Amino acid sequence: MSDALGWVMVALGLLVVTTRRRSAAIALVAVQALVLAGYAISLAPGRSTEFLVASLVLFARSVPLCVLLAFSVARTREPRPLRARMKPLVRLGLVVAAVLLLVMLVPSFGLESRAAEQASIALLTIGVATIIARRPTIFHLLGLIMAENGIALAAVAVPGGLPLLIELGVAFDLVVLVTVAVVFHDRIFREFGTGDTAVLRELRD
Amino acid sequence: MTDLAYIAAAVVPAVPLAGGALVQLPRSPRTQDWVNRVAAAITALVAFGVCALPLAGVQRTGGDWVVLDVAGAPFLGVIALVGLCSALLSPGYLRTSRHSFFRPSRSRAWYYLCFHVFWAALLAVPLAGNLGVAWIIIEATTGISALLVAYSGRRRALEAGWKYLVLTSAGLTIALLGIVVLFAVLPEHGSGLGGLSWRSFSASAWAMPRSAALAGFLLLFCGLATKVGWAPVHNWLPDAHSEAPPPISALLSAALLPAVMLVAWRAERALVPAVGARLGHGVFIAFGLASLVIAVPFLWRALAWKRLLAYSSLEHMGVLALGIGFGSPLALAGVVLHLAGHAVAKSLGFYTAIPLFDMRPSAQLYPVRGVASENPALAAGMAVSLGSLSGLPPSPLFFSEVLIVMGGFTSGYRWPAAVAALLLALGFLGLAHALVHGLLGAGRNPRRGGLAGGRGVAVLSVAAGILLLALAATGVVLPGSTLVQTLAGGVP
Repeated sequence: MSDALGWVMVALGLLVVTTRRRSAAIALVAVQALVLAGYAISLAPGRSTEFLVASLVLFARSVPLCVLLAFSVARTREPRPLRARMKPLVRLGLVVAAVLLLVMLVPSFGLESRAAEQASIALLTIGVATIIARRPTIFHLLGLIMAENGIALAAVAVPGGLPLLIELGVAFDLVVLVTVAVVFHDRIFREFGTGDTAVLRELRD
Repeated sequence: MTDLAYIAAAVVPAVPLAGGALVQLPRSPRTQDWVNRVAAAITALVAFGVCALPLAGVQRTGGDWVVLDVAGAPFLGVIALVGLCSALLSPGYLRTSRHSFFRPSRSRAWYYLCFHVFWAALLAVPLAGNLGVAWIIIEATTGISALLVAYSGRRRALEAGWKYLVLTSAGLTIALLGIVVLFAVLPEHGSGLGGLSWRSFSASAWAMPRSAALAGFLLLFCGLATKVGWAPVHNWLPDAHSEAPPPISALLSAALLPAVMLVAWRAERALVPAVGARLGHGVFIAFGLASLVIAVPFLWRALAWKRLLAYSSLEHMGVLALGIGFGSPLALAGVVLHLAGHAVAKSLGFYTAIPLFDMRPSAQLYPVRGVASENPALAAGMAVSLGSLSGLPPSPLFFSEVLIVMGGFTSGYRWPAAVAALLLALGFLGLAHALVHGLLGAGRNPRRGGLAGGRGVAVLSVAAGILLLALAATGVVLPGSTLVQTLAGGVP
């Protein structure tokens, strides 16, 4: 793969970690997903028809998901800005450290290039870190989508690609998951008056 | 012959899916309840029939998709049984539920739709002959069961549903990366979907590069561990199990967790040539011991009834992991017995919550006391459940835990087995303490009848008691049985 494209996706992910506005973060993840889909489609002529279909599915799933999230954010305006637990630069530093550590730890695992392996591990780490470090429910969803983008990048870089059925199944599950999560986000906002997960703290032992 | 496996794999989940669709047609709640009951009875009948096939010696693999084998049969049977009981008791729960996540006019129809789709997915997991297909089905259970966890629509339920949705999805995403890694290093990954079948993994795992196979295996295993609810990635489990409607809690605890564990077990067995048996077993043992260490202190605390049962699930998933990790025929006999005994005892415990919460709504949040003086029939059900879960003889869980610990000693895992025995003894004391305090003592207003689901739970308590005794008796013959010999020969 083009090394630069993988690192562009990683850079977009790191921006999501630091950005405050939910709508800006959604736009960044949408661009990340489109970069990935565009890259996959560009590879399709030299590969099987199954791979082309999988690339189109990648494109088709990214747009509606981000539109769904954008609509949900528009419906659930926060009454006041949410205060983050950590300053953006501290968050960024911690996430970059985690990414570097994991990229060093995970051995080469048979993708077309080492850069693709590193970029996919980095995206997965950024996704999980976003879920841990960011409080708004929408950021949790964006973390999940970024992690899935990392895995989709790995799948594109597997010589010959993943089986089409798996690609379709993963895409279907992600769409169902995000749809259910958006319903949850709306209900949480209606019940608590905010999408800040810091209010979800009744269940403690 | 392959056709038989394909037909079974298609029919078993198709029946509850059809049932979920049919429940949407009637408008009257009473008719919806009846359609649910009939659909559940047919589903259970078909599933029991299919799970009897491999136990009767008919084993089939349906190409790259489906497997109908001895390992999957006990899991399929347990999922069918718990699903049937949950479906039959759901009307009793729905009569008492006053809030809902869904619009009130359609909440019952949505509950039944989600329930049957969730059950269908669970029934399909033991029949999946392919790691990729198994992952897709497990991930599909997440969204639908999150809606069921949050069904009451209360704040605590929303919190539990959200945690469950996000944490298990994140875990499964990590597991998916493990699958991609394993697929990439597979020598014959050009064979498409077939490359991810258990059969293909077993055949070609020896040729995988060890470091990459190890990375893939650990990613897959840690991801699945999140969904099983093994410590230390168990945070969602106590919340989801305690806040879900009782019939759903039973399905989560007694069906979902073991079903995902089966996939982890099959993956471990298939990848042994690549990662080594010692490491594969070691991972199970590590998660098992961690789960016991985390769960036992909570069993000593005064917790609300369903929360106590949730921590007990963590303990019992740890016991099952230990049994699989020890891997000897004795330990595997314990695993089969523990799987069935835990399913019966734990689901009975959750079902007793329906009349308990009707009688005493505060029991949803606070520990109970004096149930025996208020409603002896309900107390008897709770006693059968908690007594069995604690491992009080003649509970089958007593025999299964003894078998698993003995299996640990015979297979050379002396220290893990000794630590497990100590933790199990402490867990027993904690639950026995909860049993005495929860049931005895002064009650408030004696109510002996008219509780929601009370009659059903009373009948179920008697049936569960008999079934538990019968299971305990099978503990004597299980270690030398063909079932266990086959399991010891290799799960996939």
